[in-house]
Amino acid sequence: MMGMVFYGFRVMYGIAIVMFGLVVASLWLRWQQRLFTTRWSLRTLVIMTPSEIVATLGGWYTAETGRQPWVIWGILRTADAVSPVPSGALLSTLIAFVLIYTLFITAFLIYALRMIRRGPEAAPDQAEASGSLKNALRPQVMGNVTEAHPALKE
Amino acid sequence: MYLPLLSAAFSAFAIALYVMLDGFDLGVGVLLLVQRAEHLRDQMVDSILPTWDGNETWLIMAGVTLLAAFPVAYGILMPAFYLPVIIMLLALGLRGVSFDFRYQVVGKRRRFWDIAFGFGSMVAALMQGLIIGGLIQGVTITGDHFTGSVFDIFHLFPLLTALAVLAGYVVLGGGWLHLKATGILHSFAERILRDATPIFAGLAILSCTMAAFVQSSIEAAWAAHYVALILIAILFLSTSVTLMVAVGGRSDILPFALALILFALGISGIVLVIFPDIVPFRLSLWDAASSTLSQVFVLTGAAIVTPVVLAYSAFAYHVFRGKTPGKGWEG
Repeated sequence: MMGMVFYGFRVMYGIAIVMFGLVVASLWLRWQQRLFTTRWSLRTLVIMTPSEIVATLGGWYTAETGRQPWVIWGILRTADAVSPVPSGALLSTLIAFVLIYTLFITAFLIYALRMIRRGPEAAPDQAEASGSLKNALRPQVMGNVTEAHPALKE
Repeated sequence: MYLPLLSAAFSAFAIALYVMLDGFDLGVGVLLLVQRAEHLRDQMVDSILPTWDGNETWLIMAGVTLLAAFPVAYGILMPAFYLPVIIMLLALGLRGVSFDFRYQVVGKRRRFWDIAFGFGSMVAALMQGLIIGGLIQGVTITGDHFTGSVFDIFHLFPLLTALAVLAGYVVLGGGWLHLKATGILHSFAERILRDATPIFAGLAILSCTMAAFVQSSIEAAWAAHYVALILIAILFLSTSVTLMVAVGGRSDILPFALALILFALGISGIVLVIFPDIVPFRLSLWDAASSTLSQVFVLTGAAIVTPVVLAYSAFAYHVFRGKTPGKGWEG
């Protein structure tokens, strides 16, 4: 248990420092007007994409394992808070949960990777203020990224 | 002593809105399973796309209110209905991602996500019906703790109410399409309403009759409120008949409005029978209530959030009013 707390916290904190370093570097590059064209920075940002999930999990494990045997520190013990649902039922729903979320993440990765492979040019031009929720969160820059940053055309 | 009453009223309000609003979009989801034409399924999904997620916020509101205002009831009901609640959440998740994944592909693959969409909607509807049935059937408690089995819910009566809720959501979904669709899809909605309304009314009557046999306390509730309950039954039947007549009529919104009234009547009946219990026939809402401070906290939150969500929903329904365009909202 102590190992989980030790490494969980350090994973979270280490990633946070790397993230902060990238923020400072990105601000510097933006100020120099090189943020959208500096390859090492763009590649690092791609690699860093899943880092926030890892950092969140690190923090989560730190909190969940570090407070044992309490579920609410000093007030309620985990052993006293266990639900009356039998473990067989819990295990089956956990398996169902893993299976269905495996389907979700597989489909998501297939579609997301295909979208990345096609590149920003393949994204349809956005109608202005269509009012559609489907597109509300898509960045407006997607359609004309090469116009805004000609250096990316190479 | 009026604070728990207010919290319970808010819970009931949130559940009623959830059932009526998410009911129609779950119903439309179920109907994807019986619609073979892809472009019509696209239109069906488009008709619920702008508002479905707003509709589901009411489920969260009801759940949070139950947890914060009636922790004892929450502690009993969650283990008792663990399986249907988890299966419902997984089904709603499957349905939620299908909304976006179906647009990534065409043909057979879109059909796959539409089946996932329909299946998720159907399972969610059935699980909600199971929970209602399980509530009326009564849960086994000792003191303040659930001591029954998680499988108690899979009995004949909850299975019957599950089918009744599924049929009811199909009627709501049919009514929604009757309002939003044109041409072939409108005829499809008319056919669905003509088939599903009598099935829903039949299952609802059967459930009410059977309820008296599985739950002896129902008789006492009947004796106490027989005038109101008979009135509700008469209104339910006459509304069902009016709905059948209104299908395909001059007003596109009338069948949907009548379907909503059917649900409002059903919910009033259930509230009348179980009030003032929060765990029906076992625990009153005052016995399960949290401290005054918690009640005030929940109600303050509800008072702030509810108008915002209502205004947002009203705005969304207003922006996307009228018929769903054939080529989607962006066309």
